[in-house]
Amino acid sequence: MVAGGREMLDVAMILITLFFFGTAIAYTAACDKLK
Amino acid sequence: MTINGWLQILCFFAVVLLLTKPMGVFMARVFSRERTFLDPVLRPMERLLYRVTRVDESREMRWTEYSIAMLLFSVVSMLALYFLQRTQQWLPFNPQKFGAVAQDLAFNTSASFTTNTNWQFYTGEQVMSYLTQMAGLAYHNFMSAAVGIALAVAFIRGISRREKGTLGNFWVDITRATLWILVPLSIISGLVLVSQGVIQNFRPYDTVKLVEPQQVQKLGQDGKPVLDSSGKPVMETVREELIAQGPIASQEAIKELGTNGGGFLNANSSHPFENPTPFSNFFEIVLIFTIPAGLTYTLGRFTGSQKHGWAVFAAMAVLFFAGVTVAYWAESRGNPLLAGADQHASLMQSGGNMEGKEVRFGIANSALFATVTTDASCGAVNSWHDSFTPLGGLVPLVNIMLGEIVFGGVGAGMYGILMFVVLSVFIAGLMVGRTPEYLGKKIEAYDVKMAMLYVLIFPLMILVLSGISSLLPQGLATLTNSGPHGLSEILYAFTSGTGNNGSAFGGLGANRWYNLTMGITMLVGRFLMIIPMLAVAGNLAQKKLVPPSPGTFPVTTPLFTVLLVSVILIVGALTFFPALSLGPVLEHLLMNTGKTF
Repeated sequence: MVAGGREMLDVAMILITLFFFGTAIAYTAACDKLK
Repeated sequence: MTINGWLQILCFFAVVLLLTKPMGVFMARVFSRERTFLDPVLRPMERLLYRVTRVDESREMRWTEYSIAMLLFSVVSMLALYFLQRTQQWLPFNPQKFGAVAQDLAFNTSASFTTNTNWQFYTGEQVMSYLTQMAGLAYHNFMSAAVGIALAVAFIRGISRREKGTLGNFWVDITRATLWILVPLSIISGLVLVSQGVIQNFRPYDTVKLVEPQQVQKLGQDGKPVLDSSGKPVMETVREELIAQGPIASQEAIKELGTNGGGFLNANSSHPFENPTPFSNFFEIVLIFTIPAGLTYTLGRFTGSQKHGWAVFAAMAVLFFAGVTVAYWAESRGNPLLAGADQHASLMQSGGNMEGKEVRFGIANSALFATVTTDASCGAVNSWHDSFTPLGGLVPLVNIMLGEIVFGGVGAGMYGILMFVVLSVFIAGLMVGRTPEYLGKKIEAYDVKMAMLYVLIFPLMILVLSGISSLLPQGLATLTNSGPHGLSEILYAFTSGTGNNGSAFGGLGANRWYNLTMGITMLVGRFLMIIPMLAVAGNLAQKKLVPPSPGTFPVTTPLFTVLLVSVILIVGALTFFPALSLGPVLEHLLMNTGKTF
């Protein structure tokens, strides 16, 4: 259980990272469209 | 304050001033792809890199493409550092056999180094293997700095180009920033630091026997004192001490030069292995300002208005001297609550408030280091900002809150102050009733909207997260001071994180709440501010040049410098004054009534 929990935490950290950078790319497109 | 102290500060500034032009000219040549004396060695290496990575160096990018390339590069680099920390126990160059870094701490550290923040919730000599330090952290020290320089150059191109939709090539810019600027300067600086006694080895740590064994409180795994059944602290005798080793000099140079600030050792530049002599201290402070000061000259060179570059330099210099004067004065005064102690400067002592400062460096060099490291987004420290007097500690905090535009982080300081320039000419335009112009480019609604996005994201992150952390039990769990000083510690942490500075006020321990929120804060403070900045650059690059008219506000005069400084101070003061009143200002007033925290 503990090992599984740790792996889930790794997945969570990676997903947070990917989500942030995905948002930043979408934000780039939104700033471009604002013009 | 002493004459000796002021002479050292003025000598430091004179050296920075002397380096500004040669650095600026060199960087302008590098990014204009003009020939430099390093070309015979570096040009073949550059060509090989492009061939291997299939980069077409003649291909220019629109701002959106430049932005997405930067984001993709950063996400891959950040994940690589995360995996390195999580697998270091199986990898070589780990003589102390450190285990994997905890997940939330690895996330925090990856975000920290990718964003050039270098906030350290870990103790380097107790957690990171030599491989992680060299291939992970030092890699980011170079690349996050290179990204900053590339972005500043992209912005400068945006200002200087006419009716062109592109800002350069991101891959070419980071390659040239690394090969021509950061690597050569780091090699030379690293050797200078070795000559002063900064260590560089791969040995396991030394164990030495203490001359006099010490009785200390036993600490549990949570870092808190272990208590016996009657509630008394359990004591233990310490007979040996570990002395950390490692490849420090090679990381020390880029730590300062790239305005990274993450120390190999937890004590950072107050440790004699990182900063052994008065000269190494002076040299390290100069390294922090070398590239950011040079970029003001590069700005003048690119835009064809060298006077404008110097006007921006002058605004930065005014803010630098204001900060260092207040910090030096406040720390020299000492602590009024220690009225019985001799706190006067003399041949035998530095005098003033010496808590948290190295005796080797004294008040002047501690105040100077603290001011410079927060003017730039460096974050290296040679004294503990938490131990400064309330007004002395206010200076580093305010420096970061102003956006670290006083020379600033490598690149980040330049594009940061240029966003304030856009706001300044906009305000000047409103005052004279004309369409604002900046170096012949009309500043329109879109530019101002993007500039405001840039300015507003910063306080939004700091104030909202500081407020939430001051209320939540998780936010208060690792706080070691109460009252206004405790608030200052939380406020400083989020300001340092969002501003990508990385210096700590101290007194705030790591837990999962801070690891995650600080990690996200650093990412937002870097990337979500870069994007509107690049949008302004891209928009400016497309514009036609308007010939100057009697209504054009000149950006080369002392009046412009005064207006720029005023806008920076007003924006900073209006945004952060309430929070500062509840923190360092209140603490100062209470200290004068005899109350400390």
